[in-house]
Amino acid sequence: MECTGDADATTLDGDSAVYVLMQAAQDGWWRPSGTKSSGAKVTEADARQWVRRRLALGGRINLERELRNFVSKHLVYTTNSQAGKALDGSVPSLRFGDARLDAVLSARYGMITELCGEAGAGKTQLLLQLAANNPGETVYVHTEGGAFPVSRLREMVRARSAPQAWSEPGTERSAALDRIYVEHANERVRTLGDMDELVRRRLPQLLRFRPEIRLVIVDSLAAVVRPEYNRAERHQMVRRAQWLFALALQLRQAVRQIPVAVVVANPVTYRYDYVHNTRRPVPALGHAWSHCVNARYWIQRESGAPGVGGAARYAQVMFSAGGPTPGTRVCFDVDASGVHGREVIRPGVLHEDGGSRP
Amino acid sequence: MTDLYHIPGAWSLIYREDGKPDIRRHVSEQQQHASETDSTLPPSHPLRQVSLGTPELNTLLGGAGIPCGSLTELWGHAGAGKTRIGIQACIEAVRDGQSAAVYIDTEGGFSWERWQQWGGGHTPPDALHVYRVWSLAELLAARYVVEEVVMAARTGTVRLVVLDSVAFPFRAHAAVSPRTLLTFAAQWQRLAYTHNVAVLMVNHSTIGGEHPGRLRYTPALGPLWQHVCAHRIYVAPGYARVTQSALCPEPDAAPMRPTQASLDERSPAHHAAAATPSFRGSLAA
Repeated sequence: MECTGDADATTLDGDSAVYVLMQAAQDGWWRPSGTKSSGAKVTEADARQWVRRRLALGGRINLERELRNFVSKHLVYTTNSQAGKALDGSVPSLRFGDARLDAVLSARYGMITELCGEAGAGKTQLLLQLAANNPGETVYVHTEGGAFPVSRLREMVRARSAPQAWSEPGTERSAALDRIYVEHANERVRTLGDMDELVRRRLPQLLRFRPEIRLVIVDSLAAVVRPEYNRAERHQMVRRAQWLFALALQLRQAVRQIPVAVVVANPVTYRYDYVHNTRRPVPALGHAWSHCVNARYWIQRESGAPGVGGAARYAQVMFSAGGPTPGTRVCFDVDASGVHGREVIRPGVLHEDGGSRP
Repeated sequence: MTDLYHIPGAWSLIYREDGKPDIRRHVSEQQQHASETDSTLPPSHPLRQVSLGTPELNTLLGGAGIPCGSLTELWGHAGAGKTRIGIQACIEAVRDGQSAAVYIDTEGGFSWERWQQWGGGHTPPDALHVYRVWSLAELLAARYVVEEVVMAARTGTVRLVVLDSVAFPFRAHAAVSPRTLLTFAAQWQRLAYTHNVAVLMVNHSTIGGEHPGRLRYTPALGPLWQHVCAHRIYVAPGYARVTQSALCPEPDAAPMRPTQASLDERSPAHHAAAATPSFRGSLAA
């Protein structure tokens, strides 16, 4: 379905045309022709029907005027003189509560952050720590197999709260737990359509009703996407890439008005390395998803040989918009009270044993 | 050699009085009124080119940066540094105090912390205009805004427009028709030529297989988009390379120019990338 204008005007496809016309209708100066001027609100179905009918009759829809007006009202605009006032040292990101972890990892508002790693590497632990440390509210979409680790979360919250709160069990800790909204895989989010509906309809509604939400966690997106597309077929991979881009666009649109950070956990898949005749772990969801995220951190668990400083796990920056240089690592370990960073390794730093290691 | 001066906007290779070759562009009267560009200016004149931030990057297209009046594309993988080059080009463009720059952000990669981190602290106020675009309709509509900004010229002439990730809204939209893509491209080409601004578009990379056994990457947005941008630069962490440009006739032989990222922390970043077995997946393959 395509809407065209004059030769100089912009050509939009049907969905874009409906979006622009809906914005114009909300501003109050466009109605589908044939409806009363003081009637009910224009719904998206009305706009779609109007567009389809105009095209079916062979008419041309010139969106020049709508686009010009749409632009003047809806584009978000700043200049650097306005920005100078905004840079007052406020931190635009969510933190883990541990100094070394925070120096390397961060979940920034308005951006999509990804934690990828093999199973058992510690992605869920880091996400739970982020949720426990969040002073605002959190939405946690849990799609991995198994139940949501409530007891683990309770342990982390208990480690954060003051000791005198232990004498009254239930007050402060349950208040912290009440700030986390959990969506389970087996109840609500099971297929792609569910995930779509969650992001398009339910998440914006929730953000409108609970404006204290500062964090949205999806653990993990691949568990929903993988069963639906066959990796062996090229055209399905193309459709999957397009679906992932559309989902990223919807996620960003949902967090448009308020500062919310989105963090996604991503498992790995394996790619055969012809050079070394072995398999290498690679973030799942393909090459397209790497363009959807703003920051990607790789979580690794060294089995067997201990890592630097005795810690067996590390998180490495693969790329991060506005964060530390790629290659920066923080070694951490996980115990009963949460995740603790042990050592931060910057790329090219000389270590005690004399080697310059990344 | 045919004289192409009668075609507005055509580049011609001519020989100066001292025998050296030079590239000149035929400038129409409208463009001259709009931008006061003299066609006898050498190509390395600051009014003809926009710097990209480091001298190594500027020599990629043989001069002082990317040429004004045409579209240049930066493509590469995620995290390669495309947004960084875009922001640094904006910093350079507004540095002299009489120029303005427009930054259209689609993915949220622009932040004022990054602007200040890379030396943008001393720019005059209102020299940089930042627009945050959230959908395809807004991206298509942004052209009108930019045109108004360019014509109004409140704080100096607009020298540079950066469209960060022109690929993201197009790829997120189902079944964008080729007509939409090409109309979009034609409108930006007209804007760039008429007002003599340098337009820098940031594109993604995607898998375009030529060899079945090994992955090959091409710029995203399909085979139609190849013909849109006059100059294409591939960006990787640590270097940039021209893949397609009339100013660089043999792109495969062009040497790798290091970007500022590699100048900051030179070989350790490379070693970090190579030593980690899972870094970026199959890119090192």
